[in-house]
Amino acid sequence: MIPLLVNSINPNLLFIQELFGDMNFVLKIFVLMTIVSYVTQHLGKGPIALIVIAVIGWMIFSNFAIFGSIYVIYMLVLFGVTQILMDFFILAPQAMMEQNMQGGVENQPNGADMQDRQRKMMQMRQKMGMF
Amino acid sequence: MKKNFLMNEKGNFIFIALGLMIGVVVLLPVLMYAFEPIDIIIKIFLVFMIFQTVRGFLGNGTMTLLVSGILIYFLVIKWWWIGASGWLIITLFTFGAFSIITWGSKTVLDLTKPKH
Repeated sequence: MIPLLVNSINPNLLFIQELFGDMNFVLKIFVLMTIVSYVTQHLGKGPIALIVIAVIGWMIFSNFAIFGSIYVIYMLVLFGVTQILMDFFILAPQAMMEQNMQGGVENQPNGADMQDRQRKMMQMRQKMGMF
Repeated sequence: MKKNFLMNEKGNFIFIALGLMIGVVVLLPVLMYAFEPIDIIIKIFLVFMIFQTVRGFLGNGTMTLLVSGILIYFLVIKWWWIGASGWLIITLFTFGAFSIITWGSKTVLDLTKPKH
């Protein structure tokens, strides 16, 4: 569906269709390997294991659009994509809050500010007769 | 619309962080395309990675060689840039490098600083 849509928009992107097909095939191999590995770990390599692999494989590959997507999400979570989401959802509101507190203007101290502050402090001390 | 939209708002560091992440990931295929030694080294890494992963799933045997061969054809020979980018993304995620990029784009780089 997606490759057809892309090709209807721009025919120069024909390779997208081939890429999508190949990556779908690669994903199916990874899913099958995961099933085989999981079942053989629990049931060994006997005939029962083969039957279970066949049944699970049939169930998953007959609805691969759903289970393939779930597998991709599972892999992304496994590799820690949630960390990025957490970073975004913690840091972005924090940054916006900082900006609102500063009235929309950056107010970080810099060298010029420090110099100005020191000069004012020196003037105050002189007025108070400390020097 | 606000003046200098996307330039003076700190909240928009998400776009900068995403841009930096994509930049880092795209850098590897570009380097592979530009320098042949890097291309060869990364492809050897990829072959090892794929074989190791498949052996972890299926153990030693003919099936491992067969499945590895299929995956190597698709991910190292045919769609090498997808394979290389994918490998880099997985590696960076494993080491938590993207979190550093997110943090750095907010604090260290601070590209969202308003222009005076």
